[in-house]
Amino acid sequence: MFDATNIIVGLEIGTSKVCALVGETNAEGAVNIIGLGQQPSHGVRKGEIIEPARAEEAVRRAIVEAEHMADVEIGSVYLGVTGGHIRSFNNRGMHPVCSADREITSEDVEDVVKNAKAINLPADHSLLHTIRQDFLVDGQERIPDPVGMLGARLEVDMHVIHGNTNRLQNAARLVKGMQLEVEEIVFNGLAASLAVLTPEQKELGAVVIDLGGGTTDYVVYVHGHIRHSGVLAVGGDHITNDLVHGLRLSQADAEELKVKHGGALPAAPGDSPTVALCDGAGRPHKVLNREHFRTIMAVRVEEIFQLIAQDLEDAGLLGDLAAGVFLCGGGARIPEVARLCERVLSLPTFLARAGSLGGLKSALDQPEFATAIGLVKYGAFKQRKQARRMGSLAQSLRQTVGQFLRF
Amino acid sequence: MNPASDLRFPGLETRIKVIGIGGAGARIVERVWRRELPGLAYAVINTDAPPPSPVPNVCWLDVRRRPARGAAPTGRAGGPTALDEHAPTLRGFVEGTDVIFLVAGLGGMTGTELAPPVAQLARETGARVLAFVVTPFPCESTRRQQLARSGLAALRAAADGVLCLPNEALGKILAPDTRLTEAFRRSDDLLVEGLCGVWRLLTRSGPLEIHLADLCAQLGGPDTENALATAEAAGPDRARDLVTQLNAHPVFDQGTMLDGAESILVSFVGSEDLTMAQIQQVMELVHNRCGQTPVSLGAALDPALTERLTVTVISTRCGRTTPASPTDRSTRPAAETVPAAGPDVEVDHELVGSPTRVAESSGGTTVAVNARPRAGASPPARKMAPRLRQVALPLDIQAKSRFDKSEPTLHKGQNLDQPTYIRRRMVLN
Repeated sequence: MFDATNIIVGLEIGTSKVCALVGETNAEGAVNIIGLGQQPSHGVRKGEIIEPARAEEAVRRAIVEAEHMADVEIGSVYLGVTGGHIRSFNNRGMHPVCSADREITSEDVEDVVKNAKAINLPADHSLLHTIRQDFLVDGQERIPDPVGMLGARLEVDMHVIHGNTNRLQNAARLVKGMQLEVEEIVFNGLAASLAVLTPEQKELGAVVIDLGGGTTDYVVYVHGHIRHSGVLAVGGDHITNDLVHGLRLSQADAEELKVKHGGALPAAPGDSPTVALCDGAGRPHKVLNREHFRTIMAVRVEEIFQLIAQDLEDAGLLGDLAAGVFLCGGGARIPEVARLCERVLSLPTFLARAGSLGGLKSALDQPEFATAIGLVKYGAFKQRKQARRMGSLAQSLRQTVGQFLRF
Repeated sequence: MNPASDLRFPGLETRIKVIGIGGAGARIVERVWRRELPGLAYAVINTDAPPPSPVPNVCWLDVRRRPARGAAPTGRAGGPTALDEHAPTLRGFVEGTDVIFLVAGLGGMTGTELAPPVAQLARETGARVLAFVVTPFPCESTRRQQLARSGLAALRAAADGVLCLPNEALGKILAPDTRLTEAFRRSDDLLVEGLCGVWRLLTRSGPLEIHLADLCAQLGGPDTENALATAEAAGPDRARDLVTQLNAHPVFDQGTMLDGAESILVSFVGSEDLTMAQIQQVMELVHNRCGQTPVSLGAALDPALTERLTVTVISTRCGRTTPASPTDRSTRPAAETVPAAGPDVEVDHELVGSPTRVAESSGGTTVAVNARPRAGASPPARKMAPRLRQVALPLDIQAKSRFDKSEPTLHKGQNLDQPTYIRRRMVLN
């Protein structure tokens, strides 16, 4: 905590890839990406580790590669987690203002935040994040900072993300077993949204959908704060699996077919009726019906968006998203996926770009690394907050000691 | 026609007549006639002589071929001729009707032969034709099943809508030691109930009416497959009993009838105290099974049904026929390999269905597999084609093999690990 290294490492153990991203903060607090380690992932399904031995191997390789590229030694990481068990809800805390003149002080704010954090979680779940939203003073909403205002009743909304304790700790235990410290466990969707959204977009209202290999994470911002988040345990793996069974292919063939020739919409009438898989020498060794292939894939991708749309509609948020939808993750590479999403959700859809970070352009431009970039940003943000707190603590210490000595 | 006050606007009520064709048709028409449903007239087209004393409201057509002396009543080329003689009578009967309910058992001779032409004739006179047919039990011979299939296809083209009761669905509810006559009676039961259900749907008036045109629009089309299930319950808890009964219905089959349906029609007919809650309770069953499918709802009141509630559910599926049963699949390849095996070998396959179904036919219809090469024509060393039996692919089990070790993703009763195109019953051809 006191050491001077300003290296922040984000580690994402995903279903299709393991990714370790090394970032460096400079004096002004800006973050530069200086290293990237990426390995195909094994032993991870639907975002959760089911074969620790194989997963550990992949993580180790990724860390080593990142260390080489950044020329640093990695000691601690911010670990990204996901899984179908992760749930979220909004909690409201209330605190009556006691002071005689009804002025809200920072103690009141601390009290109301503490009240809002008093939540009942299911027995086997533990807290992942509590994110403070806006305050309410006497029922008036969207107060960003009530200190100094007058009011009788102070309330605050908190967005709570929680997950199954054991499954969250699985990943952490794996990392700790490699002599790495886990600074914090972060929800992947939250990280992706930090990487991808600008404050303006958060203010207008936006949803970030991370189309990953094992899961699809989504996070909704309304009026600048997180309002809703969720995980759908369906991802690119399911598309590949559908193709394996629909077209009688092997896993590898289906994966290649999906990546090289896939699309989110069914085949257009002008396309050729067949699609050929080529072997190593470039000779076509399997010819498949394009319409079947594209139908199977389009139907699955459409279902993913439909399920998300249903969840957003149930939460009553579809009307508040002026900035639209931002897609990241490997699935954002699917041709015309934005058009399909626009059709299903009836919201403008864009492919997300990670911004406000310098460094490896190759990493920043690819949608798969949005989560890892977000983890680094999260780490940087946390460290800045801590430094400020330490700074003020050091300052007050100096003042007290100084007073002492002056005596 | 009885000017019953519970029918829809007197003078505009739907005029329905029932025509039964063949042995099965005649049997079923007799049972419907016994129920004395108001406003129906009946005709029977069969190879039996009419009953000695005229039966009220029933017109009898004997289609036996004149020079019949032990020969089959309608030979391959003789069917249409037999009908031509009676065409004027038939036309007279059908004249002025709105709907004809055609009832026949497919697979035999009379019903299969005559149902499509009768349907055609009836349509020509301007009536809509709804056919209620049964298909053979799985243990009945392959030839009957083939005939049934071709008859069904012809009927689909000729009639406005075909509601088929597959007898193999009864396999689930019949005990292994059921007598053959009992099995046929149960099959008749289901068809009679279904017919009465549709009659009620069309004739009883109420707040939500289903019109003939809508019904035909849903059922019609050359490639549609319709399934019909009726249930009735009485007493204070009738909604709940109705749900139980519907689930136990062999065609409804706990709701598998609704899977993959393109559209569903549900019609309630009850006493005057029919409540929303009762309808809701039964509709929940439908919505849980398939939230996305369009459902037409009808609700009618019949003062005769005191304290009773009946529901008729019709589900329509489009496109190719559902994956055939094991016996069905195997008949086609067998038929195709016969010429391939060589002209000298006459192979007579009578395939056995799954073991449970064999047990049902305890009434004495033995089934055997024979292969009789014509005497002396071929070398005796030539073996018969192996018995082809293709079982249904275990798609359910294989489809989530990659996700075996992880927890299945369940969402509102669906397993999302299963491929979406399979769950939505999309046909890829």
